[in-house]
Amino acid sequence: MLDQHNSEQKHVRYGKARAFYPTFERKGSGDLVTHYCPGCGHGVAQKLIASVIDDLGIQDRTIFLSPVGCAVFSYYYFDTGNIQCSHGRAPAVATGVRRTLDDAIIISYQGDGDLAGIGMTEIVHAANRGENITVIFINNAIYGMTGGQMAPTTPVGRKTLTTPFGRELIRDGRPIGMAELMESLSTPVYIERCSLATVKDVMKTRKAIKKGLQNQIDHLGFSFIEILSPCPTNWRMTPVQACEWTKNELAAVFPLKVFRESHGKKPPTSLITPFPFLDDASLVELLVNTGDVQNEPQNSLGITQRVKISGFGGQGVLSAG
Amino acid sequence: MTASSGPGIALMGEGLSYLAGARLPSVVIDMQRSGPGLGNIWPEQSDYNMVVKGGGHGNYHNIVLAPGSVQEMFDFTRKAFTLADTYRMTVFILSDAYIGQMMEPVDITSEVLHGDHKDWAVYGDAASRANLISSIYMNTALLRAHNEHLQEIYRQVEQEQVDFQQTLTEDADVVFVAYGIAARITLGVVHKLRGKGIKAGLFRPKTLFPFPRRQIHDLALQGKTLAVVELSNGMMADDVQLAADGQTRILRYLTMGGETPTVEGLIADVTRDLASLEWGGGAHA
Repeated sequence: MLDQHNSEQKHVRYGKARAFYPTFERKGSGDLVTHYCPGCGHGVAQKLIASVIDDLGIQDRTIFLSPVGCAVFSYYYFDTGNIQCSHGRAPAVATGVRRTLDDAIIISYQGDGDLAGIGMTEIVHAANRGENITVIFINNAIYGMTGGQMAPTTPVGRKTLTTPFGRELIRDGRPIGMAELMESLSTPVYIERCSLATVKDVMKTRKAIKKGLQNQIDHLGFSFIEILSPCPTNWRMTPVQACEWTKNELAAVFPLKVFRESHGKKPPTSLITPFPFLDDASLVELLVNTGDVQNEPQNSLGITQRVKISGFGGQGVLSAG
Repeated sequence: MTASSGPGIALMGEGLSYLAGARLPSVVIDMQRSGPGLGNIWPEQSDYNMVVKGGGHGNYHNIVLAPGSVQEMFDFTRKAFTLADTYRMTVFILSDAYIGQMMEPVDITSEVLHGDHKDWAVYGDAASRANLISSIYMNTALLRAHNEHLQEIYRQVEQEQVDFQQTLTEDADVVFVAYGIAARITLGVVHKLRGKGIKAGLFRPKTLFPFPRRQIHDLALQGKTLAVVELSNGMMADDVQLAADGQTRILRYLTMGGETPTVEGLIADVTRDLASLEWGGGAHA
């Protein structure tokens, strides 16, 4: 029994995680390999996530939210519950799932175009509400799936398809530091920026992912893990060069560090108290009794009364005219 | 379930399309205000095309219920949840700023409805682990089959869920077609015209998708003049004209900008136009 357990552990550690499908049937052709380019960080990050899901024994409880972007097909690989979200809205979907399912472990996985571009509103408000979810933010400083356009995270001076002479500060602004932005909010319990540039970085990233998911299991609140990730294809580099550039250039713009860590401390109770449950009886009481207002005959008034009727917009005061 | 007025619903267009693609049941309430743009907060029925024809991208429909009273607001909302679950579609309650702020007595049933466990949903448990909620089909043949399946569902909805109310239409020479607040005003017009000896009736669609095409076509075949009263530039009137298919005259009484027609004003316009028709004049545009 012990041997069997050990061999399974060994399999998970060095082989394919159980949280991945053995073969990627949903992908169709080439069902043994992912659709990611050689050297792409998505494959590494997702492998880390799958192995952490195994470690924590949460495969059945996990709902993986795929973004729009290169990771849109994450549901090909994860043998978990899967929802494919509209562009940038994964944290909003995560919120909906969280409010519906207490025990689900929700992984909201997004790239930088998805999270810091079109989905900026959703991520900021989900973080500010302190939703008990784990956000994995893959930052490769470019729009990958659409062919290498400037992203909100592209470093100044960097050449892309849409900035052929380099990103200009005056025209395009500075790259957005999402981890820094998250830090400006009081509600997230864990914020860390990691990298996939070196083996050491990869192992640190695995620890961060595990911490982020453990926080959710412990009902601590919102965890945000930003991962600097190579995109050799759109950076026009070899995989090795891309790792070097991630380490030397990208990490210079986006410093690797733990921005906040709760160390297992729970946020104030007010943040985690669930809504009171409205059962059938209280719902009926709430609705049905509203109709039982008594109509009492009134004496007619002796003098002319002026009546002003207001509140058209539902706001109590007719402020529009 | 969510609720908004036109600007909010327009923002939700992408999500509504995703809901249709992933076949997620939902209930959305649109209290129509005036547009375009910020317009104002008084009623129009100018979200008709956006809501009845879809609102987002792709080949899809919403079921659209059009309440004409506060009681129907309650009844239709209950019904909307059942329909949404039955067909796995978005069901709209398309109402307006007047019906939405009206106070009327309501009979509220004490029965609380609960949806069933869904075999397609993702619950975060072992039984639903293999489920995927998605609207992406990279394989064109699969997406074609998915689209065709959606159209089959919409056809089924058209066969099963058409709902309408007819008032005094049987012997009517002129039948008004109106929904929501416009129908409430028109009902007064119908009774007053009857008092003047003009045989008027009211056809009130309660569902805008599915649209009561066959019933309107039958009225047209009977030679009744159809008069559409609508708070828009004629969005539903276009559907009435399509349903009538050239079999009768269509009069249009359209009001925009947040104003509503008065009973007296409508009577004056209608009697003028009917007299003009008797004299062989063209339809009021």
